[in-house]
Amino acid sequence: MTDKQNEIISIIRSILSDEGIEPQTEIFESTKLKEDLGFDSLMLAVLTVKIENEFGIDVFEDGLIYTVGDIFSKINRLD
Amino acid sequence: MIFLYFNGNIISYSELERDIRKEKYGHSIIYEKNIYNIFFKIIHSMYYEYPIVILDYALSENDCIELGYNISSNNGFAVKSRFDSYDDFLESLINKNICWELTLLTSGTTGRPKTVIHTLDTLTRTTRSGERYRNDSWAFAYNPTHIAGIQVFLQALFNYNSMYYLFGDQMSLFTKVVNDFKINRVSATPTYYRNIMISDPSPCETIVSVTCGGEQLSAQLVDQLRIKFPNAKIHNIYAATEFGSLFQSDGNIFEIPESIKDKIEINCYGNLLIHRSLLGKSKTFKLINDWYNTGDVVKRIDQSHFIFVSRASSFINVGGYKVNPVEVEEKLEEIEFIRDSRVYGITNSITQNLIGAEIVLRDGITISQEELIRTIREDLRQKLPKYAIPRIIKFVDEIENTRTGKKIRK
Repeated sequence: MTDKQNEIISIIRSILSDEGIEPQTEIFESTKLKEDLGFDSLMLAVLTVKIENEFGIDVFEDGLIYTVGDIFSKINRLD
Repeated sequence: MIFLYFNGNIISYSELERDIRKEKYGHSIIYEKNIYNIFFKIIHSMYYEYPIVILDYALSENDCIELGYNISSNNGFAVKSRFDSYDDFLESLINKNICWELTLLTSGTTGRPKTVIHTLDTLTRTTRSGERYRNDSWAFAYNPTHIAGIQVFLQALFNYNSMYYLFGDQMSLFTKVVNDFKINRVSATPTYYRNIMISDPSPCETIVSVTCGGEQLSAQLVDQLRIKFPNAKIHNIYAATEFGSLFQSDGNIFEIPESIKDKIEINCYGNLLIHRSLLGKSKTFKLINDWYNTGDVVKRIDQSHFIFVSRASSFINVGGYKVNPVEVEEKLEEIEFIRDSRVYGITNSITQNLIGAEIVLRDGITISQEELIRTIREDLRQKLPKYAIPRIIKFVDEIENTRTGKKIRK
């Protein structure tokens, strides 16, 4: 996994931890934010703000983010 | 008699009178950094009866040009006064027998400022004069180019009161200057009071009247003000650049004066409406059947009294839920290690806004930031709905304010 991908996973884990949620599974590219990790809209909003602060891109701008891998793809496009 | 104390300088009323009578040229735009020059030019325009515009020095010359005011062509013009003495002038001023207009800019934190033209009628609706006000002295704690500052200035001017300029970089001297000069009145924003209490918590016993304006006043701050100003009556004033000051409160309950009762309405949404006759003049006012909707939400107690639910403009929309930042700040400041806070909206593409908070800690807190954030979240979960809990929390040394001394909500 690249540094950027690790950073994304770390942001996801910090949001889960803030909510007191222990992820049931390990976090993979295919992990679904809502169904697998239990992200609600407020947690997604925190995710988008934190990723934007870190990488300068609003990954949810066009609304097409379901999995962790979807975020990776958007971030990879920055390279 | 002191007219103005600023940055250690003192100007007396006799020096002011001398300067006013000596200067035979007027300028239609006031764009000054020096506080005395601002007050001098306002009084000069009233003494020689010509209209003026006041621009905040924080605006760049280009900003001024965009607003239609070219500073570089603000040439002087010869003026002549009909008054034989300053006392004659003051008498006419108090009787509102002066031909004068003052254009102010609204101080919105977002968007383009709007111009509003005021007369003595709209600016001095709540100004009082007479023997019982003659010995007052004022801690001047507002931006002098905005309406609240102009109104304190007029109250002082009407009564030969001394003003001690303690806004901006002079704020940290508040307690010392108030105690040294035995100042008895202050009017400021809640944010200003929070700041001066942080700078120096020792009491100001000479102050007998504390007025708050410009922002919602929390019950918690009222309690703190009672400790800082143990001998003062605490009032809240409702004013805006559009209409000057209209109501004063005792505690949280605002009274509608008998004289304007038929000019105030509350609609079915709880919005406070003001009749056009109470407004200054502006092309930008949107009126519906002669009524101006302030957007502020109030709750009627009886025919003459109401309380504020919130300034509508200050609500933060989080996924369709309206969050009142003042309420969240109150809850934050109930936590023992938090000294001050600022709650604001962070725009995002999921919920429109997310609640963010800047927090100033009390001295001597050694707990880790992660632990503090966890404690804050746990505490607020018991007190606030999920959408109102700050999700992004930053620890800062102090809270930044707008030019008018209010908390920035963006």
